[in-house]
Amino acid sequence: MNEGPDTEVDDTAVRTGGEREALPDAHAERERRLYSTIISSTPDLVYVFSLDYRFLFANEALLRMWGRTLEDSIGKRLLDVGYEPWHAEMHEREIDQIIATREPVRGEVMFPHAELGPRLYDYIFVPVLGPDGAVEAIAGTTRDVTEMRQSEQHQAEAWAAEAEARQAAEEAVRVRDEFLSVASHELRNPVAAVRGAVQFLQRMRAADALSEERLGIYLEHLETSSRHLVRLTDDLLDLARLQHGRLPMRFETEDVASLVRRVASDARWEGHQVRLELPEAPVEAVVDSTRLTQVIENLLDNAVKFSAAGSVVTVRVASAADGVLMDIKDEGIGLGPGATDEIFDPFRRASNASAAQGLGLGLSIARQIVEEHGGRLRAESPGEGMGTTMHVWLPWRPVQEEGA
Amino acid sequence: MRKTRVLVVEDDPAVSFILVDGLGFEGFEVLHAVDGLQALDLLPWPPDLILLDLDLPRLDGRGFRRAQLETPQRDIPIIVLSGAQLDSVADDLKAVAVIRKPFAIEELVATITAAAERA
Repeated sequence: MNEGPDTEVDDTAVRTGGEREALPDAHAERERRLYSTIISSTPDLVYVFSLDYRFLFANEALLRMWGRTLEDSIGKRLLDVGYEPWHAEMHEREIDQIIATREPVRGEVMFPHAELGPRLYDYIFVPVLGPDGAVEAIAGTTRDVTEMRQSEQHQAEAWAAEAEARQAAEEAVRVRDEFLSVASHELRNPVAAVRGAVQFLQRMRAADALSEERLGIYLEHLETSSRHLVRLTDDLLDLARLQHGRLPMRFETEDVASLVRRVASDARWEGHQVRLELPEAPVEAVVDSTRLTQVIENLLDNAVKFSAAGSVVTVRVASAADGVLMDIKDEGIGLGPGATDEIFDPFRRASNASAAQGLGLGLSIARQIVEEHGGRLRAESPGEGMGTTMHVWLPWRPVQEEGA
Repeated sequence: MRKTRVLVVEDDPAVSFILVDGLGFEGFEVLHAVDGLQALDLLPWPPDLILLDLDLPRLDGRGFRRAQLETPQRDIPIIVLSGAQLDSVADDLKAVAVIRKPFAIEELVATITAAAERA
């Protein structure tokens, strides 16, 4: 064992001990030059510890990192050459472990380079074994992996960003596919009714079994189904136009309160109690009355669709300093947390609305129309089962967007 | 000869009317349910065949089929009639046939007749 302070540079420690005497001097000298060149020119840090934690050897790269000379470093412990106490302690315990186990230790650690500042180092300590198999010194090499780790991290970040983008794209495709499947399903019912009705009518007429009364009922169903088809088709067309930002608007001065009155009087809402809270004076704003009618219809339709028959739907119109306020409040299924934005996505509906009929485009079309006026449409709900209020704000006259 | 009794399970009012009236005209006895729960209630008046839509309120077509297989009327064959993509439905639901909306009447009538004869 090599005990006690050892202040000499003992390079035999890195060789296998027994062969030294066997080598001819010239050969040994040549080998020494070879190793010395390799060790002094490598950018990696190369060093040897004695069993009592003192540096027996340090190559040029290590001395440069420390900013020290060889004479000033050999025989010194880690603490003496400027390592912080936790760091010196860590390596000395690793040396103890290697002596006990004769197994190498590998790790990664930050250290302030004298010229380059804080760097990340990957190090490995290995036991140097004597002829008797006992550990006689600990040799170490350390590599600056700062750039490698940074580029690995950049790569990982790039991959993560790419994966996220791909996931978002896949999700968008999935949501759209789902919408297309719902849309196709929704279109197939009225088409089936029309086609079925026409075929049965033909067969009945051929069998001379078509009474006036029966023809009347079939025609009624044909009318209802074709109107339904027109509505679905209009919604799909609006969606396509809105997605390309091309919904032509015709603005003129209108009384918003009387638009509300007209829409609310439609027989479609008879199953609910529609209450109006309208100011007595007209609420005149510059709007596209056809499109605003569509907004009121869609919002009422939504309120009615998601609340029990006979429940109250309240429509309130008021003048504010900067425009018209319109609230449509129902006592329906309400919205869960996070759903107040989702319901305006054309390809989604809130999770508690999945069983509803229709394409579910009404709200996104309504929001788009309101925004074409320079206004805002948002949903508010105290929670599922607690009703929903749609808040519309329209400026007195449409705010022209840039380039519009 | 007794008329073949068909239970139509369909929630769309127009499609329902046309199936009930049209199949009646074609010589079938037709029962109608607007959802899976109503259809289960009608099983004690056993139809020879069930024409089943999948997308239904309260209890959908798949739920109805699962429940039906637990009843004494489990052997009544079903024909799925739906607007949805139906690739694996026939196997999943052990349906004797699958017809996609919109349907051709001749095919519908022929399928019902063949299935009722086999049952």
